[in-house]
Amino acid sequence: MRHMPRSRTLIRLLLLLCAASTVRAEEAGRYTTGLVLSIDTGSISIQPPARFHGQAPNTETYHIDPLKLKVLRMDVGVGGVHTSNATTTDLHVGDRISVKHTNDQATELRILPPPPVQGRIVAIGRGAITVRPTIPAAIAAALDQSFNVDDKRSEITSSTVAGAPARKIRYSDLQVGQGVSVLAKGRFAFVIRVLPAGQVMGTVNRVGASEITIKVAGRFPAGVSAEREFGFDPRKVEVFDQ
Amino acid sequence: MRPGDITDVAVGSEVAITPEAGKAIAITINHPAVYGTLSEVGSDCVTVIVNDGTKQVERTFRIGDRTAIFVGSEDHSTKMASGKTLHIWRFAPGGHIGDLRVGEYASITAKGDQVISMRVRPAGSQAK
Repeated sequence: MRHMPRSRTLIRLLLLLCAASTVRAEEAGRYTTGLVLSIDTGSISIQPPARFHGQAPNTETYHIDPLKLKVLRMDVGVGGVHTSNATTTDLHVGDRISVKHTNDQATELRILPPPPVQGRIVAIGRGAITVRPTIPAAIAAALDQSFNVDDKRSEITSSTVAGAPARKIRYSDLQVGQGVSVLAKGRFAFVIRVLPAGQVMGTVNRVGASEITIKVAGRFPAGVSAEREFGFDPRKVEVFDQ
Repeated sequence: MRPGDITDVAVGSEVAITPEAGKAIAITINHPAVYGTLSEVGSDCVTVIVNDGTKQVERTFRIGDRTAIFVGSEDHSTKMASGKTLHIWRFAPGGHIGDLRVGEYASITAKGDQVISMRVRPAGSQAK
């Protein structure tokens, strides 16, 4: 009996914690992205992308309250993606949108910009680049896309390693063969990110002043060494903690 | 991820090397993650209860200006054929120590006791 007040306090604390996390989850809502199939005064239907290969497309419908609904438009421009207020009349069938919803009630609609084009630079011309999308080679060449670029309006960045801070580079630093992600409006590339090259993962076996040997992670056939040695310039090599 | 030091690369470290023309142009040191439940949140540190397989251990980590905090919210869940429910989480970057709650489940990547990055999910959301 002496412990009753303490256990009650603990239960109250737990209930408060549960309530706090529920409130936070409800405030956050959930997001579903898809293409607009139809919209009327009381509801909107979207088609989310298939999650698995061969999955039949499904339709999700959300109720909307025009008085409470927030509509935003995300547009590509100088410096990247900008968000501005919009109305449901700005929505069109086929638009790619993100619906913030709590259960079946939509609380916010965001008209999304076209997704970035990811691929490899195959040509660099005067103030323009041509990008071949990263899809099966047999059809990729037919889908080459050219974008106009200039150092004043295009933000061009590069990072050596995925997740590392990107540094600004110039149009003249771009090279054929680099992997890029291009965010464009029409044919103008507002944002170009040079994607990091691949990495070799492993455990350090030896490390010297200008060379490092690692045991590469993974299984190797008999007779194939898992060790790889890399030279490096101690003044130039970038080191990151993650 | 944050800038490191070449002197921290030691034998036995887990690394990822970015090669260019046979030379390493970048070395990323992968610090092992610690998983546990937040038991205390201070103004510049967090304490986590870590289950090391045999017993529960408390570990305290420092949160710095450059610590990346990702706060998770459930994006969606899918009922699997096995009957289990698969929860997909979305981790928003830009979190602050004030967003952390005691009881939340955290995965922490730290160098020594200094947190490089941490991801948190609401209490009770860890895989069962």
